[in-house]
Amino acid sequence: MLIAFASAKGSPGVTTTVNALGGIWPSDVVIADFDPAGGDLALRHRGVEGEPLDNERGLLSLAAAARRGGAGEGDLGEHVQTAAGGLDIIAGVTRPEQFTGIGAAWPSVASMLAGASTDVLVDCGRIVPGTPLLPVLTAADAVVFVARPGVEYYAHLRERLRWLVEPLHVGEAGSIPLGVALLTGSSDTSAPRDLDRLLQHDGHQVTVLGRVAEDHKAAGALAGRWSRRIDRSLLVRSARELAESVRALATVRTRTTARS
Amino acid sequence: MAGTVQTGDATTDRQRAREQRGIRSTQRAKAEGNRLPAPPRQRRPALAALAVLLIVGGAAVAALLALRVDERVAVIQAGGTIEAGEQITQAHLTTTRVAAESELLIPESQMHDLIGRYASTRINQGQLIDSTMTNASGAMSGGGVAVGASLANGFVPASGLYAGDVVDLVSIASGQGETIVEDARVSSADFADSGETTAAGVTATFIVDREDSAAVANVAATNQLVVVLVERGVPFEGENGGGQNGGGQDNGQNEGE
Repeated sequence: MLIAFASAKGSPGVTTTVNALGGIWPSDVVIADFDPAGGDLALRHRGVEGEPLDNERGLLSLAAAARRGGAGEGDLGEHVQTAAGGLDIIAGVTRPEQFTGIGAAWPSVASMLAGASTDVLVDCGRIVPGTPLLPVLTAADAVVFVARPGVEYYAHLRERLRWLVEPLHVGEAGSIPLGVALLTGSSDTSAPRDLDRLLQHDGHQVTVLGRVAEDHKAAGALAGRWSRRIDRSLLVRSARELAESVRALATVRTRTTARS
Repeated sequence: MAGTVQTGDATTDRQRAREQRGIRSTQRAKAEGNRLPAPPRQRRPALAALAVLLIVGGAAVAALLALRVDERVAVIQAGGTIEAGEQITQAHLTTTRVAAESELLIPESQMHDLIGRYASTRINQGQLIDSTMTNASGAMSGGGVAVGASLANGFVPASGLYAGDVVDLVSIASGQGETIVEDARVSSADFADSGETTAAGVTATFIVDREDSAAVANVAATNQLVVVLVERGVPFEGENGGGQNGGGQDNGQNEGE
């Protein structure tokens, strides 16, 4: 199961959402940091032995393997690093120019991820037309946008969804399901419903999956800035709920493709 | 939230070092579907020791203060009433524990110095005895002599006589009352049981000047002595008691006050 997470504009917290979901994902999971602007996960986490994660081992080595075409499907092992706490990470690039170098290898990378034996959650960062990550989006079982509540965020989200209709074949049978997760404060319970109405009114086939709690302290702990117990924090609790709806969304696609 | 850079501070490093020692098993964490960073298990023995030390130290200081605030010393108390002029014996004294700052109170350790001195004033039972209440010499100093007299009823005040009373001794030998001694002191008065005068009268000892003693003895022997109570409960001033002078003069002072 390959699920891509992206933002339409700005930094709504895609990396943190992916990180939190990876932390509580019910089955084996790898989180991949494919942010075109440069990866954060390798910087936020350390290895099991306390050592810094290896920048070269991750997306760069994966792309190299994909370009060689030698690595078989489902063999992500050598590109995955386990962080302290047990989270498996595919580290991103350190510089954006490395990203452009991957170029033609993207479809192979995407198919390797899609064929992996574990679930893969990909942080795609900000998605704009012309993004090199389009092969990853089209190979995914679901594409989830993370957004904050606000007219401007909704407007950009709507435009991005409209653009994605064609590459993802939205509306056709077996198309890639789209979802939206809202990053809101704990008191804001109406935002997901409002957004759902707005998108339905515009005729988008998008599921509003739920919300991610805006919890700076838990996010800081997740990013290694603080030491604190977060397994009962708002962020992690909201991530547990979101994980269920994300899995349900991706399962629809998996089931549909299996049937077709 | 995105784009933050981890700062590898010392706390995080320590925590990771602990995880590395196997406090949390990676495999088990994976199986539980929980790959979140391990909750902090920070042990700082030095800090804990400091905390314990502060607690214990604070308690000790508080206890010390509490004890200091209520520091009591044993001082001497009158176990029974001591009449003015009476010589103080061991039987008169007892001790009690009080919190005292006063320099005048006599600590228990100096009790033996107090025994043998004379009460300057009447000291009631239970009173704390201080150094101003006694003198070294008693009534006999300064030329006073003791004269005994047996007094019939009616020749003494109905209330009786007590040690320390200031009295005038009046002779009725000439048919007219003649005061032969003014302001004599009663050194002791012996009357029957309960302080009431009895048919036998009172046997009393007076302190008088030596030159008056013969006259007093004379009238006393012929039952012509009448005792007039002038004052009672006046502090008795000996020659060495507080550097003051003899009886009559002091009594005059006291009356004036």
